[in-house]
Amino acid sequence: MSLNEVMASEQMGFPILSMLIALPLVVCAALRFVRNDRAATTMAIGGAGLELILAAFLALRFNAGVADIQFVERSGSVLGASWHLGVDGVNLLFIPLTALLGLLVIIYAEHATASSRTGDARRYAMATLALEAAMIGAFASLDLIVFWFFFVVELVPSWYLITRWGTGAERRRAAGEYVVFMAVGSALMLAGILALGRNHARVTGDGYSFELLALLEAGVPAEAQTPIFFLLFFGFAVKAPIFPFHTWLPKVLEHGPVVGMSVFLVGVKLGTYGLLRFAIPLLPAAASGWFWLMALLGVTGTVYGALLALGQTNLRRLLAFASLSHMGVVMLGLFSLNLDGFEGGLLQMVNLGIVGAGLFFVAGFLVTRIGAPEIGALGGLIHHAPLLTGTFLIIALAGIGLPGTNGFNGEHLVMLGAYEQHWSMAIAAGAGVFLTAAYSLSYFQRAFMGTAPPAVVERVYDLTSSERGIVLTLAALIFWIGLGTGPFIHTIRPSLTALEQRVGDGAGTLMTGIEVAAPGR
Amino acid sequence: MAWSRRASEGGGVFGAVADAGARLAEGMERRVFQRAESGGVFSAVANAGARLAEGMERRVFQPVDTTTLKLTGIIAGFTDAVEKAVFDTGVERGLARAGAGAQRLLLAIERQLGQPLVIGSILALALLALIVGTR
Repeated sequence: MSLNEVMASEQMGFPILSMLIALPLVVCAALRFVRNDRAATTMAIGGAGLELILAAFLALRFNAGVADIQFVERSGSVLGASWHLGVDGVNLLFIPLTALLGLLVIIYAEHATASSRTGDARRYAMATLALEAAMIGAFASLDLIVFWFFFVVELVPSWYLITRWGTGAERRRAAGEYVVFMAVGSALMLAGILALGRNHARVTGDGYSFELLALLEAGVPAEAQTPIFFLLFFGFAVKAPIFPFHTWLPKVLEHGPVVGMSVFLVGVKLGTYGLLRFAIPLLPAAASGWFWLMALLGVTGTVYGALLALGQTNLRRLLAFASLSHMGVVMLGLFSLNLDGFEGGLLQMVNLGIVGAGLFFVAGFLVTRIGAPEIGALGGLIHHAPLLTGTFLIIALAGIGLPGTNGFNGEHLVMLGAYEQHWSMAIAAGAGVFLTAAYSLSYFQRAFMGTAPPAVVERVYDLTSSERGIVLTLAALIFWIGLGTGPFIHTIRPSLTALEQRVGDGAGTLMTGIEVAAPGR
Repeated sequence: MAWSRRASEGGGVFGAVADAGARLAEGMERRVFQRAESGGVFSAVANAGARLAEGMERRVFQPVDTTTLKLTGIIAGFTDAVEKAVFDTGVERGLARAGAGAQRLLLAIERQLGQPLVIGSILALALLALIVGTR
């Protein structure tokens, strides 16, 4: 297996990934000096729009159909860590998705902050931009220490968003719990990363290195893989979140800000992304040896999350348990350890970023109108807000995996991959789809159909023009990926084929001898 | 055709055969069937058949019908009881109760998992198992 690196200087002429990280931070710093909320929002929208254009440019210039790591940027090493960025089929899609959701959240910033106690759309936009920069940094990092740095830095804007613009009474407690969970997870992950660096020094005699390709080249002895795998796993499992490390998520989503959590929901995909990007390729023997435990956690999370979602009356809590359930399906795909499973798992991560964000936007729209998306206060929304109702239905159907929507192909590939590994895993993935339909349609029936209570009649109105723009964008993405999945698969397949080959070669053996080409072609 | 018209209307061999056939049919009708309807052998046979059928109806089919109706009633009652016991009470109410119970159980588990001590213990045990298992 050979992985080539194509430098950004050759491919683009400028360090586009560093620019994608720096641009939101520059806009964030500039916003510090703007006093007017309206001007700040306009400036933030401009910055986020430019970020999206840059991210789209990256995706358009990406050479799909090869497993090469592209747009690579590399600096000198400091204590084994280096500024090493790059994209391939595994991480490319997350960058434009993060940029797009960042823009949509900022467009809605004024409405979102108006419904909180503190207001202050300017600081809200600043925190969102900082969160966006940290997430793009984490997704683009090919050095584990740099990845870990962004993984941890992301906590700061997230904590700030939850405590300052959270709409629930327990927002501070939820933010504190989130930070504690992430701190423990990050500490365990750092221990795993340092063990990988130490192994590199031991195997190569070249000292510590945390670069993905250098670590792949060095390999990790099979007997040392299990402890490192679990240290990394604990960190990623807390972030994803995977059962039973998920208990912070319902509190954060229920008490957090109205729509800011849409970007945050893409950030939590860093958990399962980390497993696919680092844990599985670096430690294939451990991944193969412990796939059953990972699948078991996936199955448990899928069923447990869905059953709890079925009994929820608050849309935001429902989304938290739905997210847990969907992450279980992603785990089933990833730990099928075959191409279909990897493709399905990765597509589902992207899809759930869109669907989760979309449903959270709907929850935000309801909060701005009626206070809280509680079933008791809702009903008959279809008569007063037909566009809002249609939006919820389309996004919910995408979450279920209706053919023609983005959820279908991801779910389908996960099931194929799971079936290749073991039939019981495919049944669990199927149960996930069935239960998703149960809780989504049940909520739809109770909140959107039937007779409207007086509060709905008085206070609920249909989508405004900015809300229509947001939902049209998300609906277009849902149908684009659903009806034209081919180019997306074409983009991710080469990298995942290389990964499957590595897992196949490395399962149960000493992992050494990966051929990594020198920088450039 | 000219020859067939000639045979039936104007006589000849065909005309004679056709007339003979018609006469035979008329005689049969008059002597056999009309007599059977107004009495005689055929009437007696027909009446006996009718009586037999009536007797069969009264003695065999009506009691069978009544028994079947009673049996159907019993089966319907049994089905109704099963419907009430199994589906109404068991499935409908039972499912609702079991669902509510499962929800309470899941929420209790969720509350316990949310306790720092519980999740911390799970993590500590997992790490301990990892250390012991990989030594």
